[in-house]
Amino acid sequence: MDTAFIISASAHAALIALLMLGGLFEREPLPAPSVADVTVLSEEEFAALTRPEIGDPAPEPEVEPEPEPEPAAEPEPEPEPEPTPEPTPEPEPAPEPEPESEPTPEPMPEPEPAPSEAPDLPIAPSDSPRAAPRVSSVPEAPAPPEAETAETRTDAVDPDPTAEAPDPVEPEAPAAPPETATEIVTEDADPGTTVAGAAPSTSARPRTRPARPTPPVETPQTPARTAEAASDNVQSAVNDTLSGLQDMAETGAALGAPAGPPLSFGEKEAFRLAVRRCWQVDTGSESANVTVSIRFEMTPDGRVVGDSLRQTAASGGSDAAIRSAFERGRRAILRCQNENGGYQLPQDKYAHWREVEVTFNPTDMRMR
Amino acid sequence: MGLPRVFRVIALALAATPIALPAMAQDGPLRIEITEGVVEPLPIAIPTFVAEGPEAAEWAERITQVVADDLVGTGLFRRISSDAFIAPVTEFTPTVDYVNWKAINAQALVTGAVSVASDGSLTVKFRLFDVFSDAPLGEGLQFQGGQDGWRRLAHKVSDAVYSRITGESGYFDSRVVFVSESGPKNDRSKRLAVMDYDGANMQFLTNADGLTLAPRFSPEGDRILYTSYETGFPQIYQLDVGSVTRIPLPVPDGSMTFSPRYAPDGQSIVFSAAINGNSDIYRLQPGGALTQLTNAASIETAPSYSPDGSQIVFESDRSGTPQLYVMPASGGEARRISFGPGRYGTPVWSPRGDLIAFTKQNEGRFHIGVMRTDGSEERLLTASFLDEGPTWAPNGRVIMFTRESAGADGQPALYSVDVSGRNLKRVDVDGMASDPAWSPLLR
Repeated sequence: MDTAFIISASAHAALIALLMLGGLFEREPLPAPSVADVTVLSEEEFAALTRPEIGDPAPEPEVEPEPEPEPAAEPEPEPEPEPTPEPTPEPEPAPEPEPESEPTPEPMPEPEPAPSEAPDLPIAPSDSPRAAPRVSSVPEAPAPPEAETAETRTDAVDPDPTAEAPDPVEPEAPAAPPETATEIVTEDADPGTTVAGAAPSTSARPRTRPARPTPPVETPQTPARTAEAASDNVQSAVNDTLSGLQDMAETGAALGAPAGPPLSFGEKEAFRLAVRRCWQVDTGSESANVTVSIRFEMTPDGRVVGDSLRQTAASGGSDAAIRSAFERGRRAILRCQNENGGYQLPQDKYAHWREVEVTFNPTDMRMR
Repeated sequence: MGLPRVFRVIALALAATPIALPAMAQDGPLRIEITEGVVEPLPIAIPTFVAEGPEAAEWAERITQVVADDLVGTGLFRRISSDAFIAPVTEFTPTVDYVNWKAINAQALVTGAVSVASDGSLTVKFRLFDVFSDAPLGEGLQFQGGQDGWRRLAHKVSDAVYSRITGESGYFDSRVVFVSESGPKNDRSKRLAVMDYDGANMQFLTNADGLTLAPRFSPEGDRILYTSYETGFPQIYQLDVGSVTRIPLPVPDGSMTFSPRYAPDGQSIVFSAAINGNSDIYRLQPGGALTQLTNAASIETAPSYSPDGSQIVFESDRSGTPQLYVMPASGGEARRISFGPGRYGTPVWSPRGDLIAFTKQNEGRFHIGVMRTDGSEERLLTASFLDEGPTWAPNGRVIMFTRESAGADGQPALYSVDVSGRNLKRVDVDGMASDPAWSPLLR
């Protein structure tokens, strides 16, 4: 029994020790893993680059990274890819200066997707056009997990444009030299650099369309990773801020600060004419010398909130003339909405016309 | 750590943008400016006033008709036919069903009621509604008077409605004195007559023995100045409207006096006097004090005070042709205000003080026109073979004048026109009429 007991006890002790030790290992490794991921991606990218180089540059879409900042630049890139990503790429190589930079950048973004989805490359092209989704891409960037990244890419394609913009900068130098593999790794290591490059590259990028082709896509991934490795927290914070800004813009509109595009000239003119038709002017009266401003609120269906009409300014006559001018304006506003069953205004811009101020100025109608 | 800081800075910068953007996009409400509207009569519903008692039915009908005629006659209102009414008005209530009136596009609604008291006096009540504002326009009012004055009761209602809608005082409860003419053109008799502004209730103030011209109401409407040729010489008389008695004005011996007009205070009188062949303008003050206001070799006549009594506009040919001049009420240097082609005469200062009406003869045609008191913005409102002698409605909105047709059978008649040049129409007067002068609003 003693022996058995001892054996059992020692075995348990060993197990406990292992568990404890194992736990320690696990904990520490955690941070490292993320770095490892980055590296992996770069390798695959290389593979992808070697093959499809030309064609898939388009895939770059990955964009996911942190495209947000340089959306503007991206737009241009997109178009290029679509046309014929492949052909373009090659030409680029020739142009040493620009091409290099371009290829590198774009490819970089793609890399990520590439690894898992060499096939995606083709998709990429189409994606790039979607640039519009851009917004979505931004969110993706935050998702540091590489695995996720892959997914995002597929969807995110849109972001590409954006993503590319940032990447370009970084990759350019390194990527240009196809040699790559190694370099790519390096890039991963310098997330911070990538980020910094992003801003500048964005603006320049757009022009280097030829570079487009440089599908080497791989590079793209790099940027994403860079972000992760370097400062996932920071990026996520930025992303959060951006999304928060959008929310603020929306809620701001709800609070009175109109969001979205204002009424077009045509929309305003149509509204003005609608009220004008009902404004009856007595050119021989003193009220014809009065300019009066009337403010009122409207419901989303284009109707005037009856008791909201109030005079905000008036000039040019006696109190009685001003009162008459105000009443004429009020009748015009109320009567024309009645005839039309509410004013025809774009509901999606309600925030812009929820409150209206109409100035009735009979100057041009006065008797001369 | 450097990078995170960079991001933080960027994040902060971005965070600030969305707040600024909306402000840049639009500040405050949607603003539009309308500088051109439509000029058309305002649709108004005037259901027959409710008769409170069978004996009031006829009065209600007649009073309602006069109210409608008054308002429509201005050219500013269009009465909606009762056939269009969705529901008849059978009670004089403080509220109405606005929906029914909006449906027929009535912008204003006048409801009223008429009752006859045991002593025969009439009581007229009315309310005015701003249909599209779903609210009454002012409070209800009522007027009471004898049956003889039923038209005045109607005019009072019309004035109140007009005033509330236009912001200006009315002119319906007013009278017009004029020269009623009869006989052939070469032997015409002329005598003073007075009527309601719309031609009703005409009465003669003088007999047909003498030739009378240019009557003018006093600011209170209780006296009339006019020129009579009954002595062979033009002589100014003052007629008391209440007693229909007259007295000649004390003027320089041997002078011909004409073209009189009261000062705004109703006490002083300005007129033209031809002494030794030269016409100038004089002022006669209470007590008989006479002051010569002009002293020129030319003909100065047709003086008219500004509403504030500080200036006088008159006609003079000192420049070679009759033109209009303005001088201080106490006399002194006059400045010419008419510079257009043709001849200008009979200027009359508007009760509002902003315009001067005049007669203009140019290229064989006569016009009634208006201009600013400085002579600017001259506008001719009419044109015909012979238009002359403008007089302002008490609110300065309408001008009445004489129009005479051409030819041996030409006859004078009274016409009125809105100061905007619209709504030119003939005043319904029995017989030939000329030289109108509008009274102030009656009280």
